[in-house]
Amino acid sequence: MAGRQGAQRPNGATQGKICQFKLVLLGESAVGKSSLVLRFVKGQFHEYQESTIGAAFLTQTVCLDDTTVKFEIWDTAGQERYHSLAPMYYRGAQAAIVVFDITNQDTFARAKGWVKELQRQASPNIVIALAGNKADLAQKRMVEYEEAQAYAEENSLLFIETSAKTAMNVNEIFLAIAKKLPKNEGGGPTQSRQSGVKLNNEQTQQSEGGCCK
Amino acid sequence: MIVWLGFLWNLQEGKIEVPPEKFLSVQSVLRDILHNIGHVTARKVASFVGKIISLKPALGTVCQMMTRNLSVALCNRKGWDLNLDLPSVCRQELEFWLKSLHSLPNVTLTPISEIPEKIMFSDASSYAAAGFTLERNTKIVHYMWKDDEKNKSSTWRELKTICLVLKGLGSDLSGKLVKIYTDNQNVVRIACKGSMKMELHQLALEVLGFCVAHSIRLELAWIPRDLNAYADELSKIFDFDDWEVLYEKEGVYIHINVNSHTSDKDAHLPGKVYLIQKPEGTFIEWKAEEILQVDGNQDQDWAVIGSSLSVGYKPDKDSDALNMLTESRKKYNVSFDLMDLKSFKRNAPNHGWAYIIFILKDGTTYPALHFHNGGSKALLQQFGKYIHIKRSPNDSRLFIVQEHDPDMLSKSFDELHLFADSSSDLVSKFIKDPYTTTLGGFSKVTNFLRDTLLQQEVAIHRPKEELAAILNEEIPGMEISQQEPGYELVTKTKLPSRPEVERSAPLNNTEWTKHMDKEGRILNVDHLKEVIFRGGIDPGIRSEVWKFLLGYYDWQSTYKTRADIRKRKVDDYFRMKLQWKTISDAQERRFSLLRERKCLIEKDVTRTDRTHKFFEGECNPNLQVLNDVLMTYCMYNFDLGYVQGMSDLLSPILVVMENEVDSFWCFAGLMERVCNNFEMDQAGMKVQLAQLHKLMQFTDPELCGYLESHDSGNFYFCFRWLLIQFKREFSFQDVQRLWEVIWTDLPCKNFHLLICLAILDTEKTTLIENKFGFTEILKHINDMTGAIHLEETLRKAEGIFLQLKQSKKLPDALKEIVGVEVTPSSSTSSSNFVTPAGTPVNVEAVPKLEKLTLPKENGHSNASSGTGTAVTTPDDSSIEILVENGADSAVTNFFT
Ligand SMILES: Nc1nc2c(ncn2[C@@H]2O[C@H](COP(=O)(O)OP(=O)(O)OP(=O)(O)O)[C@@H](O)[C@H]2O)c(=O)[nH]1
Ligand SMILES: [Mg+2]
Repeated sequence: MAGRQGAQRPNGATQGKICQFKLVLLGESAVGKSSLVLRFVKGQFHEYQESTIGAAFLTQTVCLDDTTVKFEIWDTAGQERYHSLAPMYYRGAQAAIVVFDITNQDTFARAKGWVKELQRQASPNIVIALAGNKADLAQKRMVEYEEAQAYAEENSLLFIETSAKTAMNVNEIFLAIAKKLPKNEGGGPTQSRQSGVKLNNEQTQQSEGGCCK
Repeated sequence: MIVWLGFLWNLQEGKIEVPPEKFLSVQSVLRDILHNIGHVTARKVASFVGKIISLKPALGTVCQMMTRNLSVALCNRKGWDLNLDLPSVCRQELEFWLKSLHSLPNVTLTPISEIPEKIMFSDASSYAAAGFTLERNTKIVHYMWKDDEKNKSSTWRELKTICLVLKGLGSDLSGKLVKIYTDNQNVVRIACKGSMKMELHQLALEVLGFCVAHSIRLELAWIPRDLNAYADELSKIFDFDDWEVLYEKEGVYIHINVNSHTSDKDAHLPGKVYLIQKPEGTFIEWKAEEILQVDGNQDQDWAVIGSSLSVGYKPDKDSDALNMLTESRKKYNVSFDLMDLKSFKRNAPNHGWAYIIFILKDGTTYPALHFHNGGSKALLQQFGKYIHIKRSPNDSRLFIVQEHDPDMLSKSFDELHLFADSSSDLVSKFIKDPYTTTLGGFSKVTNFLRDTLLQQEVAIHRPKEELAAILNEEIPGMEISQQEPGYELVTKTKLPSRPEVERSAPLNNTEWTKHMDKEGRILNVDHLKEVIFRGGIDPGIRSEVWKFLLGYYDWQSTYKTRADIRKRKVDDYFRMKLQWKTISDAQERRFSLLRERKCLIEKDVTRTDRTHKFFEGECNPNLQVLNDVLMTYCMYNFDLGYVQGMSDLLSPILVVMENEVDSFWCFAGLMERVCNNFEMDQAGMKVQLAQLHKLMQFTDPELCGYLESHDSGNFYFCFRWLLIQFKREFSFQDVQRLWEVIWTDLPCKNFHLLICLAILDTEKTTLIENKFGFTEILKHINDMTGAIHLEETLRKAEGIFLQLKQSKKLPDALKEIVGVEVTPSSSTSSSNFVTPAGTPVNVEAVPKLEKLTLPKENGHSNASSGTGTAVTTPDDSSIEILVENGADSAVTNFFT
């Protein structure tokens, strides 16, 4: 919660709409999922970020025009061995960031696998963003920008190259997702009850299907 | 000096100058215009603008910038020979030229090679502006935005920052070539060329004006955001003059790990706590001391690396460690909006000082803030103005923030609805599993009752009394029974009350050697294990004793056989190590599985415990050892391979053994115990989570029911605990202690599950009274790293074991899980404790082990009689039938 650096919260929670979205990060181990979240939520980067065991949960609030968007972020463990746990976390998610490491072709292949799985099994309206992370290591690049871009276009994904290390495009990718998410009634299926998301009182008036008041 | 292209090229000074005759011609047009203002034709103005623009090669972008309004006016002309309307902004431009034409600095011939005399970085955040100079005695300019300034665009703020930085350093910069780096590209453009937006243009003029007045030649350059990190950081530091600090107190410490000893100087981070009124809200902050002293750093070295765009912070080598420390400390900073606060725990100052743990609505749990010099009360007193606090009836240390929620009533209906919703489900469950369902159901009822009761109380605002309650250390916190009928009924579980057990000193060298005969055989292993179970092992002999606990050495072995074994194991290890070491590149190219594993291991080795001294630093040789042991384990157990989490298990072993081969075999021994955790599809983990569920259904149906009704009945929040045996939850020292206790396989098998229960028991009120759901529970549990009391937890876990053991109606499924003997009616298990390794432990030994002191009200003499049979207690009776039924169904459930 320290340093909401993405955007400041509005004064008083009553002005404007408040939306709450569940977002999940998926991708091969060590591509930088936790680092992206840590950058977005706390504005920090740890060179030796420890691997994620199980899953981590974080929240961050950003402002988009008159709307306050609260992200509930699930950061998952990347290794194939823990694949079977992933559905628990992407179930009911309105957005996903599938991360790969631009210096590693295998991670891109794995990212495609995740996209396919999400398209098949996640909520039908899920907004998927593809993040080519570690863009600061351009000299070791193994995945061409154009290649990823073309793939993203084919699959109607948002695509941005990011760097958790330099903070490049980190806020941007979350904001881009926030922009794409339906902020009015009739948005993606909010399974907040099932997924155990507890709405705080600010949101108690929200309508059934949407995620805003 | 040459004349070329209409300019004077002053090669000596490296400048392009305007020839005097050009100046004269510009000046005469200018005077003419100013004289006849209001009657000047557009053509005349255009000729003036044209002349100025033509000076650009010598004077730079100012020519464009300071003719911007004139150009706009020209665009609006009615005709070339008609009089042109010149608004006041245009006149200002004209006057500028009149005043400054001669004093403008000239463009330098080779701007890139000329080294700026001052390099500065600037950045603006939404509440402050900051800049600093790049030099040995870094100067910092810091400014807090006024309210109206906060609402300006970010470009405005960045540009304004440049003004402020220039003005702030003023005389220092006079006559110099100054380069300012900013991370806003617009700013660079606007400062050079001006802007169509009036307020931005004004600022650009302000910058220019200042530079002209002080003969500063200014170069602005853009750098990517990350490189501007320091200025960025500065711009986020708040200024106490500008924000209202409602309360502050120094001498507030974060203890990096609750179990650390006070002698460990790194274990206590000193800092300051603040309650600050910011525009966005009322914030609680805690900052480590070092971070507060940014301005005090005299010895920071800044260097320009390579081209002008890649400028970075390059600390000198010696301060590396310091930076690391600061970096790691920053992790602990606390900052949150009081509105996000859900609850807090305050421990009264019985150890000399009080500490407070803050818990947010999303489950974020901050490390305890220890008020070594007092002041926690005063801080909490401030809270009363902003939030309503209610003391938990179940835990006198816990305080819950009450929502001012007009929808409270509808919320409780909502919950009622939830309950009604699942009631049909409850019925069908009841048929399958009456015991669990009933208890779970009851706790749902009580949850509901309690929630409604709590909510009703909110209506009565009584902050004064609540505060009085907080501040009154003497009040022992429990008067629940009247308040919450039905609640007590269910919580008093049918277990015997929990006995208190004692823990003792670790096994030391004297005792250890006493347990060896002349040949080195270990005598009385059972007793030795008891000692270890009860107190752990002295670090001095840990590396030796672990080898026995982990099956590297046999307890029956002698010095001689151990030496032989060791020799064999060394050979064995290096044989296996060679196997992967000697795989050629060509071979590897066709060996994807190995490649994959190599890659996985590499990824994890670089990020395992790198803040620990043993693995610290860029080229630490211990990283190679970590890597090699894991690779060799892959060859040793190729079917399992490498799975994330294993490096966490190896690291403490390596630290203890300080030897590659020994570490390997001990690690292999540990993996024997926990390899099921790493199975494909998590089958082993799922079994354990289910076992945990079963156990809690019996030991604490209330909490269990709560978790079930809050999407957490799967216990996934314990995943990390179980997978790597609590490795991430405790400090290195404590993990070592905990592990050796677990490895004794005392007092029962799966004792680690009881440890989970013990921790959850401690957190129970926090989870329930904060009404945490799935996400908040997981977050709270994840945030508990370093905050779990090891010894207390171990005592409690053993207490739970004794409760289970003494419980007359312990379901068979649970007996199976903890391995206590099954009553004669059932024949599924022997009457001995069975360790996972299958070595029977004599039951007779166990009661000796339990130095139990039963609470007085429960004083059954037979509780410690040592027969190993279950003990009846009066508490046992109330739900006898349910338990009986439950026992059977639990068994069937568990195995289906
Ligand atoms: N150079 C560079 N390194 C990065 C970047 N993001 C992450 N890293 C590093 O990559 C490693 C892995 O990052 P994590 O964030 O732990 O990766 P993850 O995807 O969460 O990995 P798992 O938790 O194992 O699934 C760490 O050492 C990070 O420091 C980046 O943008 N640039
Ligand atoms: Mg991670």
